[in-house]
Amino acid sequence: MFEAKLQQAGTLKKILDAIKELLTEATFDCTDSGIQLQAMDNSHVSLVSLNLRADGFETYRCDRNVSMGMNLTSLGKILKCCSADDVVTMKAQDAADIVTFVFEASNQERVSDFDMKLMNLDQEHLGIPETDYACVVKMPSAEFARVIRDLSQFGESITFSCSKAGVKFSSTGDIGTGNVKVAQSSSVDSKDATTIELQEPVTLTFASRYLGLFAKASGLSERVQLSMSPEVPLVVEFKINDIGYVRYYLAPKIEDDDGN
Amino acid sequence: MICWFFIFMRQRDCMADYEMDGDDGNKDDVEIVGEAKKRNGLAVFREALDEFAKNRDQDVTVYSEVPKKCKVTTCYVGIDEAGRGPVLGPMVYGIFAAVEDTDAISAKIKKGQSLAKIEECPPVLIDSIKKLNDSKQINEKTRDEVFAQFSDLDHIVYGVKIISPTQISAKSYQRKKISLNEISHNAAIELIQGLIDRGIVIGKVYVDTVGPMEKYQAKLEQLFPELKFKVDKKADSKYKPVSAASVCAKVMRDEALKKWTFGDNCNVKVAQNGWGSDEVTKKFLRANIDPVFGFPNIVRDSWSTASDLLEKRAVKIKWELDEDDAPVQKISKFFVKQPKTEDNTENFPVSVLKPKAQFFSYRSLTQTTKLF
Repeated sequence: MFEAKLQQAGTLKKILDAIKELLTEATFDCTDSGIQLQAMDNSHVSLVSLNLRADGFETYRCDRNVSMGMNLTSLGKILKCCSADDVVTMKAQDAADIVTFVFEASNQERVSDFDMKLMNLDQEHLGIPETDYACVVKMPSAEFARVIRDLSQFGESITFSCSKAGVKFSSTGDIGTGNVKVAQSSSVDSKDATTIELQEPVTLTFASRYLGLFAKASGLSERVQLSMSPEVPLVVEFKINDIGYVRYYLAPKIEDDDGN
Repeated sequence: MICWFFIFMRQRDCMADYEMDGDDGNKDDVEIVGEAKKRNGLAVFREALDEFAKNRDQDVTVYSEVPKKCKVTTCYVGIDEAGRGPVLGPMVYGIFAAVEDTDAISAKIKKGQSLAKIEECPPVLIDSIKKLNDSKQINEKTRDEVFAQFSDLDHIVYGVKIISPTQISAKSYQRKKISLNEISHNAAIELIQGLIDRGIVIGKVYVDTVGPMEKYQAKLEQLFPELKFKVDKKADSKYKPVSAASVCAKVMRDEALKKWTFGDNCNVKVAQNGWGSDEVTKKFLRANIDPVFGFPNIVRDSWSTASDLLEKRAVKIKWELDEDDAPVQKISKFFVKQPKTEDNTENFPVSVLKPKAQFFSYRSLTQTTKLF
């Protein structure tokens, strides 16, 4: 038996918004420690890792591990039926082929429930090692989303250059070049601060399209954390308040010999 | 009719250099020239068509016999093409050189025209052919008539290059792609070089433009610094030699289409003009598509009319190598696949983080611990 109750259905809506354009279907692995989702997008260029801890839920019960393969379009249809401040409960039997969503309106006058058919998805799990990154940037997620949106207009890829002073995002394309420099903030405490922990300067290039899809998660959290090291995937992490995180991994583009 | 032509034919292999070496074009030339008797001009071209019919995947180039006059007196040369746009059949490039009309030139000089002005639209000795005009403006019968008259003249040289639809498709799909404009330019360059090799005295070359005029002109001038060029829009109606070249090319293309033999796998065996917007052509394409082998070799697969149909009606093809070429790296290269286990896999030891060396990925080599 699996049952998890979340105070705010809006969180679930935002999580879905953050992954539905990268993934068409995904498996939610439920254990007694919480719910995990790990999946690569269709072209296997990026990886999404979602973690929702058990203690972040209002109530959480998971007697045996269940893997729930869901079509995210169908999940979207069901989540359209609830308001952001509804209380949502997910339920599934041990070897179930359906999952039940119960939405209770905050004034308790309306209760609706929806069953969704589950799918058996054959997914491979990738082991993600703990890594010490050469550079970790924390910045407001709205700022990150804006930089990506602005620079995506220029080219297919965006270069991140991190130094002690700040991060420079740049992109070049047919219409010209765009550069955005975000400097390290002087006041570290503020919510809008940009902080950089730097072991060594890093310059990496990534596909704008994927960064744009990651930025869709900026509704989940006010802050975003970018972790980078030479020649390894970028990690874009959004914390989901008190419950977990969603992380995106994206491999850097290989630099051409002539530097283009 | 008096006959004084011999055939000169060359097979060009553009697909790969090593094939070019193996398939010795010069041997073919010698053979054909050796057996050549004096023939009517039309017969020369008919023979070229037969040669093309033997292998429709290869280009064929032919020239008419070079009369002495063209080697001593200045000739004006025109270049034009036929069948650039259609989705069916070969594209044919024509070159036409005619000796200048000295009487007409001196008459014009007497009238006070400057030499530069005369060169703009030079009088040549084909002005006697009244109906000669841009091939698009005269009907098929007139074109054939005009073309037949070329045979009677002893002060002109002409040549055509039949570019196979297979070659056109192959060049636009091969790894180092050659655009249709470039194919056109190369054909023109080859034909000009052909005339130079035959010792023709060239006064000026008039070319109907393909792509930007100025660039094309600069390209030709750089390749042939000793020649004068005029690359122009609608040159086929402005300059007689270009009109004549367009007639040669058009007649050749029409013949090639008419004589096209279709394999047994073709359901509909009419080609007509081959334009993608033409109903007969549309029907032809729809009827002759094979889900695996695609179209017969008359079709230029690279044309969007054809490639769209292939995309829709034929079996989908997955090009795995192309995906490897993409500049974006797969994320799975960086992480180790975990075996599926019942218990929590969180603490599975993982150490590999660097991407696999290219040596292995290019050869599709992976590590294995089990054989079966």
